[in-house]
Amino acid sequence: MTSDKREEIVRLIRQARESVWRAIEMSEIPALKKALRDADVMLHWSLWHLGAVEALTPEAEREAVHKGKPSTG
Amino acid sequence: MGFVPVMADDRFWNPYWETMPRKELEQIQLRRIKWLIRYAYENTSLYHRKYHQAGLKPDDIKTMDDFIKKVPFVTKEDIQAAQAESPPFGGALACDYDEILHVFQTSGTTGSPLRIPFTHYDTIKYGEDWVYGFWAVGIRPRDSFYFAFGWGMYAGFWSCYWGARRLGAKVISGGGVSTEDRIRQMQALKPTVLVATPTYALYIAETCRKMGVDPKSLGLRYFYGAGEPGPTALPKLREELETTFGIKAYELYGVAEVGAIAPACPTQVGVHLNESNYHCLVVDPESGEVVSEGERGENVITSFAQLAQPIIKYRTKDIVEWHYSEPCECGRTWVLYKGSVLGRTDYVVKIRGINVYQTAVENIVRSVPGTSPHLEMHIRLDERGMDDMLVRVEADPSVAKDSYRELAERIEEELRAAIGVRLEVEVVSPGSLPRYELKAKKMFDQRPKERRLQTGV
Repeated sequence: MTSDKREEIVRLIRQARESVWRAIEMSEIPALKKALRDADVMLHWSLWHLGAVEALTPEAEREAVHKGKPSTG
Repeated sequence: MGFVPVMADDRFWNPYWETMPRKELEQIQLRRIKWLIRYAYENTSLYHRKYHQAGLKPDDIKTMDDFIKKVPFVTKEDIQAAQAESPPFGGALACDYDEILHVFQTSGTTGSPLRIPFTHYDTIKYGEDWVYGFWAVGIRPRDSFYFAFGWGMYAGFWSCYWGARRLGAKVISGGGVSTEDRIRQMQALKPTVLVATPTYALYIAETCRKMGVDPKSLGLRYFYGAGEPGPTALPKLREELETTFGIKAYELYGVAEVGAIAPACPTQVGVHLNESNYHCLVVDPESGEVVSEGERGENVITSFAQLAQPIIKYRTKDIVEWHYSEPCECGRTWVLYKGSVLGRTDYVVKIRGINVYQTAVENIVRSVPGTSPHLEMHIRLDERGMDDMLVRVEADPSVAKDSYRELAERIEEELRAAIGVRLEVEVVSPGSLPRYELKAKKMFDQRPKERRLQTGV
């Protein structure tokens, strides 16, 4: 995997997390909320696999992104 | 970032991490350590109090040297004391109680049990720790795992089950049935991977023979064990398992309250610390100073993965020998613990000036023809009040009873030649020593209370 490919995958995963977070905020069904939270955990885990998280919990990573902190590799 | 992992190579579950150059690995680990220290300081009274007492704030940790020199160690006793403040988890817990998905406790073979909480995410990471080893030794999603254990409070094999699910392999539960029934299940379902403690795997083989079943007929291809020194730490045990079952035998080095920290190396020379999830230092047990590469010392672990009950510079009491400056023959750049766990600080006894390690004694005893895998080591005082050890070992069934004394003398001589100290050996008849489903209790400390080490041995 080239460096460019890795960065593109990381970008896509982060984009997916944004979509999942919006869906969580909009959803009222407990089953759906749980499934989406699990999806967010797996997306954070995917970033972990690529060394692309600094905050070790999905919630803290989300906070860091929303506060505009730089991402790490 | 300049590092480009080799992706076409099927040897690795995640070559990005497993072959990462050490300089990049250490940079990522330092960033994680800084995050973790702040997380634990802000969310647990255990670490807040500990760091406050040391005059330390999270921002004081800027370099790895700061981490090594300034951050205090944490011990099992520290965590237990924090839990006791407000059971079940007290000041050791970093998350809301409602976020805990699974609760375990340690087995208690070295003292009173420690309670261990995991969140959902913790369990995913703990499970995936195992997959690195499965994949490295050739286990794949097409394989099927037979779990020969009772599914109690022991985290070890539960986490292996999570790992089998992460891998996508089949799971066959051997819970709640007798050893004979487990053998019948394996005959019917032909799993390819046996998960058990090494001691119990040998008991399965013994029971097979009593039932007139050839262990090789079970169709197993792998043994993957944990919980006690296994096929990597004890070469004779490996040979016995592989010959008896017709398999390859591997072990994982795990610490229940931390994680499945070091999966098997396919070369079988040791196990590799999973450095995507853990950081280690190896220290002199007395001084706490970091020892050089290639030297032996106590394994001190920091976990980035299990965050319900943070683990930062945790003194495991496990004795290891670490190697890291050259990639392993298997291709990994991760720290190699050669021989896996070599002993415990609470099981190492100084006898007439010589450090005597549990696994060293076991390896030597097992190398003498006529011995069985079942042995005990009894620490006691000699007639001068000095530390001494009696080794009790079961003879192989093929050895005549009137040859026991001769066998004992041969073992004593081998121990003296290898370790440099004479230990008394008693050979007992087959079946004399207890059998265990989980960890075998092999060390017994019979010295007066005031002379005993801080252990439940």
